[in-house]
Amino acid sequence: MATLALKNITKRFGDFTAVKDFNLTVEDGEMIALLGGSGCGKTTTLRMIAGFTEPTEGSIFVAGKEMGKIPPYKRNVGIFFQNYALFPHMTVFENVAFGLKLQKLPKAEIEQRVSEILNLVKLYGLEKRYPRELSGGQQQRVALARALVTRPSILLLDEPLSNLDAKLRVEMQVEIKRIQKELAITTIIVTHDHEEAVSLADRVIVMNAGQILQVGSPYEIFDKPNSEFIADFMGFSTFVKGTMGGEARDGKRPVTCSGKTILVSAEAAEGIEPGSSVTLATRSEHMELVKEAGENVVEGTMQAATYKGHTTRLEVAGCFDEVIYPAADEYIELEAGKPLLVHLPVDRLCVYKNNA
Amino acid sequence: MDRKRQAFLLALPASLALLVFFIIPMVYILFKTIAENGFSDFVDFFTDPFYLDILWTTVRVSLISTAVSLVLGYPTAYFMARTKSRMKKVMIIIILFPFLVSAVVRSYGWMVLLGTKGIVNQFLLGIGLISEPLKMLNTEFAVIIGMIHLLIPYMVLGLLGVLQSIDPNVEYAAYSLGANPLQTFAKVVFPLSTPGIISSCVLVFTMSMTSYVTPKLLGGSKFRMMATMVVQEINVSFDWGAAAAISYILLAVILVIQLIVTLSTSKYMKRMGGGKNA
Repeated sequence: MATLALKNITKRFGDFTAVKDFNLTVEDGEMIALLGGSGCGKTTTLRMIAGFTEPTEGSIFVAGKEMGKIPPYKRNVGIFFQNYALFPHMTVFENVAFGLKLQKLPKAEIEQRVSEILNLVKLYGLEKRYPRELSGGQQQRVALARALVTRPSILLLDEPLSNLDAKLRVEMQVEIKRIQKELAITTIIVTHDHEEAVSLADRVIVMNAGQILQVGSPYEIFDKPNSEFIADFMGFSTFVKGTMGGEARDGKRPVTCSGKTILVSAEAAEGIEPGSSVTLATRSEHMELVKEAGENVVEGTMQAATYKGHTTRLEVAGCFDEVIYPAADEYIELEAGKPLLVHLPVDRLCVYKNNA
Repeated sequence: MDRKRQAFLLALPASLALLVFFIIPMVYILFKTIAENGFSDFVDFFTDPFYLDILWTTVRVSLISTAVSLVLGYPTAYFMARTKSRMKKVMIIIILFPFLVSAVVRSYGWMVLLGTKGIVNQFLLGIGLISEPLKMLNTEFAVIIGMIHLLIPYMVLGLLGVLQSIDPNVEYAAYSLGANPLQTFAKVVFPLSTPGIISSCVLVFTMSMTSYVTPKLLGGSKFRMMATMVVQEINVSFDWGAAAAISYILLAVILVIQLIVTLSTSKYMKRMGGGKNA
């Protein structure tokens, strides 16, 4: 339980810069997610915090103390590995008790703390099992218990939900959040999955090429990505190019896309000069099929329909030069060429200025 | 044709070759010996201090060579398993290189190094550390040195396999839980590598027990191990019975030792899931 600060961290491997001038302050008890694709430097950052690798430049502070050359085994940083990295030759009890035994605690205390933490992760009664005798979800809980039982000042989670099936994911997501709040432990999650990031973290940091692109609440990151790149990464499906129109009226500004006028909120288009080339972005589920023409309703024809269970994802061409991908929350049969009206809600459109 | 029969056919040529060229001759010499002399050759071996001494020398040399190979080979294998540098390929080539040179040539190499007028003695005399050349060639010491040289590649390659199969994250996990490098080795890496240690040691020990060229060339005429004794019985004493008895006793000793190792570690090996990570 401590604050964490990374100041001007740079990590180079030969000619390759994995992390570039990275600055981050994490409050006591806060849960942060580092979100980015593979090779964005998120795992390298995690390994530097844990002390497995040293930053080329910059310093890491835990509770105000500079970590410098402090080896990983003296940092009191708990880490959960994506592949769990349980000790295969030890039972669940021995795995969890490993760190406590190294602290030379009395046997009774070790037993008490192990059983407490196993209760917390709902693994009570499995103490004598070996890791290979457990299911994936159970192994994951052991790994979590092992990282938590030593009461680390910082907890690092590397893709904590990635290896689980859909049902277990939701379960573990709730569990991790509950345990983290209960122990009020400063936590960093590293993940490439935006759902994992927004569902777990208090604050999300989007990274690319070793640099921070955006910092914000899960809501901000999910709904108001500050660049086209992040929007794409966060699962926005539809991107339409256009030209920014004039002054705001009723809090809305027009954008001309493929000859059609689309209104966007003045807030989303703030600071973009009229005449600028822009890209509008939105999510499939924010667009809706409508029966009548109106504001921001465009006409196109159905190209493809993919049924996804609770939604049907459509490909609609002809509205703009670009194909758009609205989702309908019902089953829709594919009828290629069928004309459709699609509504693009004003307040659901993000606007990004294109670089010349 | 079903898969079982296919597999059987694939295994047939090698199995036949083993049967015809190995098992039949082995059984033949055993029966021939017993038919001609009864069990007297075996009784002689165990009642003659001369033979028992040879058995003990063989076991001693093999144990020492195996132990030293393990101690020298383990750090090398560990480094190779963990390094990401291009050195790894170079190291594997260096390790495999001795396989390209016959044991005879390698032993001659050691003769050049260890002889009375050899390089080592010349060097020690030159720097004034000794005033008279040391007798190193034609001693047990020379045999052990030559044997270690022969065995280390097998040891390193055997250990490399198991060490590479240990997930590096398991070591990082130990560090993060407060284990220093020594504790991480003792509590995690070493226990996880025991299946490889055991199998490599059994292999290397067996090779050492049955080696002929190295003791013959580096041990001199008065140094005897089981395999050199078999040849001596045949070529010098023309005593095929004794040779057969020694061969079988050597085989029995190796089998018993392997059996003891397997039985005493089977429970542990089972727990380790055959050395694989869970």
